[in-house]
Amino acid sequence: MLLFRDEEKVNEWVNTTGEARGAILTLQHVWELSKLWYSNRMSPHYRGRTASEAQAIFTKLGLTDDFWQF
Amino acid sequence: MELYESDYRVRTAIYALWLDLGHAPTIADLATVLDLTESQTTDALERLDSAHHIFLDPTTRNLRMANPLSAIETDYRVKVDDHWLYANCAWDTLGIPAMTGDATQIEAILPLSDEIIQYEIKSGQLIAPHGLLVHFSLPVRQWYDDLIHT
Repeated sequence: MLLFRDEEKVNEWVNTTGEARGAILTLQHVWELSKLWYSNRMSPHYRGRTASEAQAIFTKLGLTDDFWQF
Repeated sequence: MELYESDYRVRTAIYALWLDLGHAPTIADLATVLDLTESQTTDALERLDSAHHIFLDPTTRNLRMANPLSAIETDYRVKVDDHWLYANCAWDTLGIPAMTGDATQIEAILPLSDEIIQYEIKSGQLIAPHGLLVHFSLPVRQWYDDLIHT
C-alpha cells in the first residue's frame, strides 16, 4: 500500500510500473481503518481475527465492493 | 496450525520488545525475556508465522514483519518515543500509532518522485497535507499470497 499526492500520481505509477490499479482511499479513511484494525494488536488477549470479523471492519467503513471481500 | 497459549506469550513479547529496542527482536532476545530455549522460541515463531500472526524471512527465518512493523528499512517510518520504526507500507504508518495509542511523527517517501512527506498523529487526530491517498494494489483475498508484495 503506497502513498500518493493525488489520483494523477496513482495513474502515473500504474502506467509506469504496470501494477494493477486497485482501491484508493484517503489517508483519513486509512486512519479510521487503522484504528479498527490495529488498536488491539499488542494486547496479550489478541488471538487474530476471522475473515468475517475482518469483513465487518471493512463494512463498517463502507468498504463493501468486491475488492474488500475475502 | 494450532497455537498454544505460550505462543501468544511469544507474540506479545515480540511487540513489546520491538518497541522497546527500536528494532525487531532476535530469537535470543525473545528466549531470554521469556525464559525459553532458542529451540522453543524458534518453534513458536514458526507456528505464529504459519498462523499469519507474524511473517518470517523466507531465507533466514528471522522476523521480517509483525504487522504493522517491518524489520527492514522501508519508505515508511514512524517515530515512537526515541526510535524511528519502519512500517511495512503507507497503511501501516498509521497502524503503529493506532496500536500504541501514542502521538507519532511519520515520514513517507513517495513512489517515482522520492519526495518525502511528513504527517503525524496527535491527540488521536491525523494531521497531514491535504489530499494524500493510499493505493491498495491487491484485493483483500490476495493479501496473504505474497506478503512482501502486498
